[in-house]
Amino acid sequence: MENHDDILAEFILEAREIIDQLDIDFVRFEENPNDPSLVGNIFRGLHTLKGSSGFFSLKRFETLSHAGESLLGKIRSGQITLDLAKSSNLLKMNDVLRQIIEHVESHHVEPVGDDRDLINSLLGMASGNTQDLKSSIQKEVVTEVFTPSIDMADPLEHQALLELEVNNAPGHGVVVPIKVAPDILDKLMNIASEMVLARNRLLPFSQQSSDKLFTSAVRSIDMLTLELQERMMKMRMQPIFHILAKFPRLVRDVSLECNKKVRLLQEGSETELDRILLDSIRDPLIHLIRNSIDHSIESPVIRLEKGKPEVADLILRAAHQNGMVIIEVIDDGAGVDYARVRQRAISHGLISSEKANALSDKELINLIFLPGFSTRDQVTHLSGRGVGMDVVKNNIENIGGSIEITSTPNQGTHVKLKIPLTLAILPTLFVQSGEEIFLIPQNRILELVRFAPNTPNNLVEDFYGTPTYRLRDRLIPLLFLNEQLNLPQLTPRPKQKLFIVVLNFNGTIFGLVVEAVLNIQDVVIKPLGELLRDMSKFAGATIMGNGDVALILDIDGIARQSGLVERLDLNPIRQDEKYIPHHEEMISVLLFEIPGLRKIALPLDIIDHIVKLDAAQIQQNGNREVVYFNDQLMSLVRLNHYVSGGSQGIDHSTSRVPVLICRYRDSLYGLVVKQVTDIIEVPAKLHELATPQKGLNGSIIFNDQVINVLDLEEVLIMHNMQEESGEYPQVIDVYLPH
Amino acid sequence: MMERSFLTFGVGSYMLGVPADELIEVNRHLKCTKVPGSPKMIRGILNLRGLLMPAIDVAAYLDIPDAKSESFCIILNVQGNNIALMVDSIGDINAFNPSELVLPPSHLLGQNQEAVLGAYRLSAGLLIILDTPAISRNAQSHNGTIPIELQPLPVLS
Repeated sequence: MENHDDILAEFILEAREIIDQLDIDFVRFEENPNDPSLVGNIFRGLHTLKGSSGFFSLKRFETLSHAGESLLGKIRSGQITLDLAKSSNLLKMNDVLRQIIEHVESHHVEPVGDDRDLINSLLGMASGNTQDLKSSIQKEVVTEVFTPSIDMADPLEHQALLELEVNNAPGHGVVVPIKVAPDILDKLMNIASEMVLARNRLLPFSQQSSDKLFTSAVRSIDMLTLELQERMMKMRMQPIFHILAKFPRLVRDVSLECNKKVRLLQEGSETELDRILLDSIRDPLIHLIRNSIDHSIESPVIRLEKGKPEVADLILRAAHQNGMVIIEVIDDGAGVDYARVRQRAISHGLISSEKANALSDKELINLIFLPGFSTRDQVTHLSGRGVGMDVVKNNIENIGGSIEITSTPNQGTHVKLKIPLTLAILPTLFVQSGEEIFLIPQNRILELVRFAPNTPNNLVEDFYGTPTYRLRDRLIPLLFLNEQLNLPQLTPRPKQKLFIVVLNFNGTIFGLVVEAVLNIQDVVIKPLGELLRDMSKFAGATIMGNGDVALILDIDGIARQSGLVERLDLNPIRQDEKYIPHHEEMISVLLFEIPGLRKIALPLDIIDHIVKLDAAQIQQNGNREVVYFNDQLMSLVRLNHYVSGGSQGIDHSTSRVPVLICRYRDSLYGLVVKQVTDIIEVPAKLHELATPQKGLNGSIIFNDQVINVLDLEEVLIMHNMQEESGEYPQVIDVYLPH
Repeated sequence: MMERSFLTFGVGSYMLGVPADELIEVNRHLKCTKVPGSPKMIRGILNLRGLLMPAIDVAAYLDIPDAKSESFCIILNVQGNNIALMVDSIGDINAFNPSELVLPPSHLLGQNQEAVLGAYRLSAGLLIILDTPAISRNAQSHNGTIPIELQPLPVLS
């Protein structure tokens, strides 16, 4: 048999799947012993295993699965009911089957081993004898087992085969997946990305060409490339089901061991996640589940005393949210014992007692993440060794995720993991510093703040040599990106505005100052490691749509190398120091509408005049629209072309258009709007937009209404740039579709 | 003895060579992105059809004065790693007998002697053969020390 190995490999793959499925089904069966479809599934699975193992003459496997099948047959026919001892035995059988299969996979032969006790006990249970079976049945059993088709098994067999045929209808668990090494996928992915770039270079030619055959060929390439790329991305994604499937068994075993009663509820197992990430969250999740059962959930007696249901609920929930996968582990147990955490932290010398007593509950929870922390006195094999939550936290953070624990005494613990969808693709914010473009991973950004450093009231204070910015009621230390990277200094301009990207480094909030925030985009990360090993300020690089390389900042590396934390440790910022709440400032704004958007505002003092222009007065100057106004040539700017949400095209419906006239860098500009509505007094406090919107500075909340404040400078820069180069922004167009 | 081929190129007034079997291609006008904080010999990172590689400023690497090192870009695959050499001009591919290789006099390129495998005497002067694995190594760890990464405890404020 030449292709025997291939068939065996297929069998092994199938057997693994069935065994995994059996694990789940047994545990579910334990909970719903009266579900006939479940026992049918289990029976069929086991039957398939037995049949195939016979074909490969895996004697040990066959004998054991036959014994299990016998017991299940009786259970299915209702002669015997399932209890804990039986299901434990069946699970034990499943474990042995798995070991055998693993051994067969690596050594191509069955491992030697003696399953007689297990087989006897299974068959004993099947024959209704739960006690005293070993001695009496042993002989009979052994003979029966080695001649598989005798009376007792026969009717079952027939029935099972019939059902099997029904169940082997197309698409039912018969497709054998192909294993592909991840690095091949990565290479394919790389090629797909390059394909997109090559297509981008091709597109302009097709737009200029009048050859229909050529343009249609390019269009096909365009479509195919897009599809290729989407498929490539999908290929790496797998439903989280693949790891959740292991957990019913884990929960069962751990809760038995701890003498707890736990019901596992799983939601959202179809949520998809990158393969590699899937592997790296398995262990942290196992740890969290163990922690919940071992530490948080109380024993049934205590639960009843507290008036809770005897069986605790453990919820495992996965969902997509804002381009991240959120995985929650929720229990309704006792929660974190804050007093104990405090006492432990002190006795382990992790924190001084006066400091510990000043901590809030939320801060106490952070102590759990310190290395070496454990509230357990006794080391069990489940927990208590003090290697735990810090490792979980590190693992989650290593893949760009975060972990958050909240706990209410006697109501339970809620652990929330935020995991990026994929490692290869990272949503990043494009920022500019010292004429260069850098990328900041978006999941690290807490918020963006715009400030004018060179104005007297810039909210920047010097704190023992560290510049800090007053953000609401907090002082946050600032790092200037151009200084950190030794880029040329900015030449200060009086009204220059910079951006502070507020970031978190191991719990220290700091602001990274950049010159401009450009856009947000998903990029494909390419590691720098091999090329430039000790570039610890960069996490990687990416290739932009135009083929240029841009560097992704390593926030932790920058923060670490800046020595910020050490400086703050020497002189901790006391957040309440010198804090003067400033009274709310009011400004007058002009409220107007533009095609596509209502409630746009500009500070009144920017605007020189408001005029109504006749459509006939508007003249063309190249591709610009100009108006001769007050002996000057004034460019008209149609605001709706430059603001996110504005409708495109030119509105010719009205003959007289309102125009706001303002002055920018000694030139006159006329802003074409649809309608001027009002002049109002509003608070000067501007709410920055979480995602920068083209042409908008931020918004003002006034009488519960959102008023968008126009970013005149940006609009005019865009307007002028469009004239000069015909393109804006200069950074890439959409490179990866979502 | 088997002859070995070398791609010759010029940097400043020097004629240099690298093994031709490591050559992938010669390119012009590849835009490279500067990496702040990288050593002087690294001009930046460039993208060749999706492969990122360090661009080596050969003039800076060998301390050659009066060279721009920016006209041409020689892409090499050195023991599995891609590197790009930025040079002034490109010459021919010539084959030489390895037994004719002479070790450079110790004062030739000062401290960068380890960067040079040896030289061939040509009628026009010396062809200096570069040690490409050494370049690749130097690009990866320029000062030989890896900074120790201390992970501080979370700050409890």
